[in-house]
Amino acid sequence: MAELLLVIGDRGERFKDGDILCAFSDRQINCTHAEHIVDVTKIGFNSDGLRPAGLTLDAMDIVYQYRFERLNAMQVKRTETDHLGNVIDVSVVFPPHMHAQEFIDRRRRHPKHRIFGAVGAEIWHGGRVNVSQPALDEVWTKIEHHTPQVRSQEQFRWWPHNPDGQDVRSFLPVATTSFTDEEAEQMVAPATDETGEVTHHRNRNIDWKAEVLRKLRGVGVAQVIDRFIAVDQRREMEPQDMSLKQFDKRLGRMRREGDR
Amino acid sequence: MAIVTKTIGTSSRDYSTVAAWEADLDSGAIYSSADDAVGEMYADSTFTDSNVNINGGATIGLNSITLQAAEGERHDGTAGTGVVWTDSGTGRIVQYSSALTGYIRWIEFDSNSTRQTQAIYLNPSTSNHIYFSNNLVHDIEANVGVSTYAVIELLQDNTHLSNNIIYECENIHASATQYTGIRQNSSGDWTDIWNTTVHRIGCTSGGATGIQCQNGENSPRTNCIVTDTHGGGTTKDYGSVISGVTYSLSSDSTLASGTGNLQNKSAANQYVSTTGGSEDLHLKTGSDAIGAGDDIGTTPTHVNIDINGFDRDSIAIDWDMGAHQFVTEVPENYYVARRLSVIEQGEVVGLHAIIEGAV
Repeated sequence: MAELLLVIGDRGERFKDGDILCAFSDRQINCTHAEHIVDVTKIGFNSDGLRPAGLTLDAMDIVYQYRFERLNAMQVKRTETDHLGNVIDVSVVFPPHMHAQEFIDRRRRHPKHRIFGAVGAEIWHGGRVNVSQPALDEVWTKIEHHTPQVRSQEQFRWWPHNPDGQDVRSFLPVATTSFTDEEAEQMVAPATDETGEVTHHRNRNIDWKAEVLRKLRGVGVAQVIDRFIAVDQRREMEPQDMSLKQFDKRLGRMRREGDR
Repeated sequence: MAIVTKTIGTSSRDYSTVAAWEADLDSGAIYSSADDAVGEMYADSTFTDSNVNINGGATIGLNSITLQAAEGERHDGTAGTGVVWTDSGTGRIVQYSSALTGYIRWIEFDSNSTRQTQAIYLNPSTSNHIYFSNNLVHDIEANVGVSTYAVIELLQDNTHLSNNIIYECENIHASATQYTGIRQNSSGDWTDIWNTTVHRIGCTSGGATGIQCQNGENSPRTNCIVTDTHGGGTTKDYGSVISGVTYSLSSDSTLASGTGNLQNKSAANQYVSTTGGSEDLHLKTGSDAIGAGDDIGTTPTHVNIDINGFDRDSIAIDWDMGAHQFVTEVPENYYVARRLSVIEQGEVVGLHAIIEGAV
C-alpha cells in the first residue's frame, strides 16, 4: 500500500489542481514508522550517560555502514558490515586521523546524542545508511523481537499525516496500490522541455474530482477545497490504481502502460 | 506583517514534508502580505523530499522565506545529530529560485543515491538574497558526465554561504572531466563564501575543485578551509579566479598568493577526525586555522554564527578560518582597547582610549 498527496486548487503557475505533490512508496512508509520506533530519544541513558544497548543499537548496527568501538584512549575500531551483519572490513583508527576523546566529548554534549556503550568503550555509527527493504525487514524483525509491535499492524500501513495538520487540509491524501521508490521519484519530478528546462513544478496530475472524489464518503468538492477542513479517508477508500490514472504533462496525455 | 512559523516532521507537525510546506507558501488561508514564512524542521524521521524548489510566496507577497531545523533539532557539526534530509532521488535535493529573501539553515543534507545534477541549487531571482548557513552537506555522489556540475551551485548574484561544512562528495562517472564542491557560476556577482569548510571533493575519472569561482571581483571568499580535493585528473582546492580568496587555507598549493592565505597544510592537522564515516571537521588544538581568520563582523547575515551556534562577534577574539570557531573565550592576557566618544551637550568633542585586561 502506498500513498499520494494531491494539490487541491491551482497555485498560480507553480502547481495545478490535481498535481501529485508527494508520493510515499511502501518502503518509505515502512521506514518512517520504523524510525519512530527505534528513535534514540525514546531509550534514555545508562549510568554512564550513554545510550543503553537494545533495540536502537541493534537497528543502527543493521542500517549503518560502520560501527565504531573505542578500544582505548587513542584507538578506535571501525567495522564495516552489511545489513545482515556480515563483516566487510575491520580497521583501527588513531590520531591524527581521529582524536577519539575529543570526538566523543563533543557528541555527548548534544542532548540527542547516539553514543552507546560505556565510558572508555563507547560505540557509535556512521557512513552510508542502508534503508533498502531487505535492511528494513531486518530492523522490523528486531522491533518484533524487542517490542509487541508487528510490521503488519494497521497503524504502520499509513503515512503519518497529522490528523489535525495542514497536510490534510491544504491537500488531499490518497491511498494507492503499491509503487517503488523509483516510481515515486518519477511521480513528483518536474516537467521539462526538450532542453531540460522546467516547464511545470510537477509533471504528473490526477483528475481527483473524477477519479478520487467518488471514493470518498460524505465528502464533496466544497469540503476538499476548503483549507480549514481536514479530509483524510485513506483508510476507508478503495486504493487508487496508479497504473492508469495519471496525466503526463510532458507527454501531453494520460499515461499508458509501457510509458517511461 | 507577522512571522508565521509552521512545523515540518512526521510526529504531529503542521506538515509532514518540506514539499507540502513549500506548496502552501502562497496560501491566503495561512499567510498575509509582508509576512515572514518560517518552516521549522523536526528530526522525527529522515526527510526524503526530492526536487524541492523553493519559489513560492511572491503571489501572496511574503517578505521572506526561512527553512531551518528547529532549535533543539540542530546538528552539532557532525552527521546524524539533528535534522537529516537524505534524498534518494537522482535530481536536486533542494533548489532556491524565489524572488524573496531566503534563509536555509542548520540542515544536514545527505544522499542515499547517485544523482545526475547538483545537490543544492541556489538561483534567487531579482535582487533579493539567499543565505545558506550552518548546514552540513556530505556524501553526495554524482554520476554525471557533464563537467559543469557541482555539489552546491551558486547561479546568481546575492547568494551568501557561511559557516557550512561540505565533505566527502564525488562524481563517479567514467567520463566525467570535472566536479566541484561549491561553484559560482560565471553569471554570478556578489556571491560570497565565508567561513566554510570543504573536505574531500573528488572526481573519480577527472579533475576536481573544492571551491571554484568564475568572478573574483565582488565575490569574496574569506576564512575558508579546503582540503584534500582529489581525482583522476587535475585537482585544485581553489580553482579558476583566485583573487578574492583571503584568510583561507588549502592543503595544496593553490593559495600561493592572497592576503592571509595559508597553503600546503595537512588536513589531518586541522580537524578532530578525518576518518571516513566518523568525520568531525571541527578544528583541533594546534590547527593552522586557529586565529588566522579575518574579523568579518556581522555582514552578511549569520556570517558571525559558527557551526556550533557560537557568535564570533559576541566577544573580542580573533576569528578562525573555517566553519568552527575553536577559540570561544577571550584569553587571559588579551588586551582590549576601546575608544569611547566623549559627548558634551549632545556633541562629540573627543576620544579616549582605554586599555583593559591583565598585564
